[in-house]
Formats: sequence, C-alpha cells, structure tokens
Amino acid sequence: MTETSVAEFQGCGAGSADQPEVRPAFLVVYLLLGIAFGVVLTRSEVHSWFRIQEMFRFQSFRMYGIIGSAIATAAVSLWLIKLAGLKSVSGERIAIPRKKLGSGIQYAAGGTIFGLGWALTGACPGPLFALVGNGVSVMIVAIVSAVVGTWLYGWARPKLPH
Amino acid sequence: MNQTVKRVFPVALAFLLIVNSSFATDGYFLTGYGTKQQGQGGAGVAKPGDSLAGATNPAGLFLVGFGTAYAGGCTSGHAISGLANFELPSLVAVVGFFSGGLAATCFILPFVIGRL
Repeated sequence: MTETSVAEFQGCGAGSADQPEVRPAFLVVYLLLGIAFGVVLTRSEVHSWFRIQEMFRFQSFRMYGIIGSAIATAAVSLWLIKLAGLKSVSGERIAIPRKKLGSGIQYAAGGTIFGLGWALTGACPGPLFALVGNGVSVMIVAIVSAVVGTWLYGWARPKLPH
Repeated sequence: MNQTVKRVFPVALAFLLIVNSSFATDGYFLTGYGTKQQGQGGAGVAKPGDSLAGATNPAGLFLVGFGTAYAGGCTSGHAISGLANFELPSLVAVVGFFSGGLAATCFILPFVIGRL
C-alpha cells in the first residue's frame, strides 16, 4: 500500500470516513455510550495490568473469554445492523469500510509494536481513559505519551513501509 | 460548532475537578508492580532509580500510540470490530498484537521486573 488517506485511518474505533456534522444532541449519545464502555472496561477488569499479564502467561481464560464474547456480540450486532439497515444518530448508514491488506507490513509491524507496549504497560487506548477515571491520574502521562507516539507515526509515515 | 465547543468545554473542565481519593499502588497495580514496588508501597513511580523505572513509567505507552497509528487500529478497532467484520488485515494485526505482547512478556519483562 503506497497511499493511505487520513480518512482511512480509523484510530481505535470504527467510525465513518466522512465527517458527519456534530450536533449537541449527538454528543449526549456519545457521552452515554462512552460512559457505558468505561463501566464495562472497569467491571471486566481489562484495564488491569495483571489481567493482561495473566493472558500473556496463559494463566487465566478470563481475557480470552472477554475478548471472544465481545467479538461474538459485535459480529451478531453487525449482522443485525446490516440486516435491518440501521442508521447512526447522525443519519448515515452504519458500515465499517473494508480494510485493504496490501503488503500487510503495516498491520504486522504496527501490531507487533502495539503488542510490545500493551504487555509492558498493560494498557491499551480505551482503558487508558478508564484508568484516569478510576483515579490513577498518573495515566495522564500515558495518554500524553500515546499521543506523542501517534504524532511521531504521522511524522515518520512517508519513511515507513506500509 | 464554535457555540457547541464553548458550551461543552466548561463542562469538560468541570469534570476534571471531580477528584477521586488517591491511593498507593501497594506494588500490585499497573503504575507500580513487582517485588521492589511492593516493598516501597508502590512509591517507585515517584522515585524512579532502579531497573523498574522503564516498565513502571507510563510513558511506555508511546509504543501503544505508535503501534495503533501504524496498524490503523487497536484492540477495539482491530480485535473486536475488525474480527467481527471478518477482516483479514485485522487478523494480521491481532496476530501482531499477540506476538508483540508475548515477546515483551517473555524477553523484556523478565529483565525489567524479574520473574513474578
């Protein structure tokens, strides 16, 4: 893959590529969904360094169960959304754009770098914010650090194989 | 849009004022783990100076930020949304997540925190 438009980069979630107009009413929906996500992350303890270590040491089925059931729920939800042709709050059709594999280097290398950081710090982008909400305010440093990493990728992007 | 930002921003700032009680990590939490941290009651983040500093330093999340941007998604975007949509690139990324994590657990963490 030689050209990847900024719109193709989905970040952590899977939103639509074209930017819909943001209205205050939508913000309330986003806020409520975000709160629900934060509660789930905290209650399922996926924000814990120890849960993630347990997973990488194959000592507990917990994380595999959580991720597996999340994938199953998401797959069924996506199937139902497509079947019913549901629209998002801003009115456009819900569709996750297909990703292009290309050479695959982007996914393999990026994924491995992510994994190194994931196991070392025991946090991924979503739980970071949940951790701050849990009172671990030092995680603000982690958020800044992750943003710097993202920024550096933007800077190094033309030099990296994709 | 500008009006919206003006209205939402003070609310967002107000949220920052909600302060939770702070707690020591007791050497068990993300921000301070391992035997030495345990002995110090998790104070190692405030006073780095041993080999643990690298792993307990939350700035290690730099790798996560870089990797997320490079791979175009994280555990939510690729592992959950991507796999649920049956995407091959997401599967490659998830295999990457896991092999990177295993490498860090097996080859890097033992040097940093010792065997748990």
